[in-house]
Amino acid sequence: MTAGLDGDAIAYHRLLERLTGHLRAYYRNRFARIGHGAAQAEDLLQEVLIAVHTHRHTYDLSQPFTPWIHAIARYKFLDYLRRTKYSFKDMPIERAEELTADSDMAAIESGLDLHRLMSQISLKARKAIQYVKLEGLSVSEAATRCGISESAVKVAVHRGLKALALQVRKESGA
Amino acid sequence: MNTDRLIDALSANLERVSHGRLEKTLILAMVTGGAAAFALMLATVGPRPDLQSTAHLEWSAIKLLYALSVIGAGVPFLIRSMRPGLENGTHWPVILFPLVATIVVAFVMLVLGRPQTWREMLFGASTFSPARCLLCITFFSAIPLAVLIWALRKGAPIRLRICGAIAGIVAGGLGAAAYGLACMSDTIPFIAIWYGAAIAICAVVGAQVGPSLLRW
Repeated sequence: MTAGLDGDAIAYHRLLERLTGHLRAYYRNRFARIGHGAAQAEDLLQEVLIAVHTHRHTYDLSQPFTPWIHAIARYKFLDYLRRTKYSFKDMPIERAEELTADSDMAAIESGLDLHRLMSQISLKARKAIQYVKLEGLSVSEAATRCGISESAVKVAVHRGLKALALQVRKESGA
Repeated sequence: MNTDRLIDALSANLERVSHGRLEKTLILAMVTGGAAAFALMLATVGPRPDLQSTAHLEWSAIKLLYALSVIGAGVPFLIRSMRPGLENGTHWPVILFPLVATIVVAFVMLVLGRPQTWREMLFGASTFSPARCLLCITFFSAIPLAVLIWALRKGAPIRLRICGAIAGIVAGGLGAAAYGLACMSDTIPFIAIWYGAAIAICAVVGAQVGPSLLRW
């Protein structure tokens, strides 16, 4: 940050990249808890990056960096909450249903679940399922991406799904 | 827009940031606001006619000292409140010390003084003095408060209501400094109550407008 304030663009770029990782985790976590989507979290993340950039002169070099960035991140989160609450209030009651219907809590939750389950199966099977089942690529496209033959992709998907099903059974039984 | 592209855009053509810019902006705002308050005082009520005579000079000095101590107690925290991460270091006892200390002194003076003099000590030279004092100080503080808020927006205040309240206190101090040269009521209890009340009004106004005007 110090170098960035002095105009070192490379150091500044690296700083923003590292911040992005931390902030993304922070906001995803918060947003999942209040039932807002990852896309909104990403929007806010970008807003914070811009705020960090335009307010970088408010960082006092004699002070530690973490409290500074944390204060900004928390401020922006609370600001977001306030903003969205107001927009809820301003909305006429007839349209309230659109808002509640728009809740993507289920999508986020299942996304999280899937990621957790997927992390428990082998890398090869995970990649194959990711490409074929989640991203909707054809088997041959997935094969070129993974660098394996088409039949190997099919086998990997088949085995991966079986392993996933086993995991689900295990968890619902437990 | 993709976040990685945003990072690229932000770090391209990166300019060097000069240190101490915030402090300079705030001091500039205070000088401008103070000058505006003083000019407003000259244009409306004008300085007290007996300002040249040495007898009342000390009272003008006391009022000025009172106003300056209110400003002096508030400014360090105003500067801190512009920097994220330092906003929790606001010590209200320090900020309110000049106001409270004057009230204590006023109370002691009332207790020691004769009850016949209480009326003049509390309500000043004429019946209109308290109302004139309240109106003038809040009126003179309006421009300083506006300029201070402009300056604070250059920073990144986190706790907007508190930041606005401190700005109100400092602006009230500037308004009190200007009115001190016009005020005819020369007693400590008068200053403690009416100047204090006017500054408190400014603080409440600042706290009310802070959340909407200081947002970033």
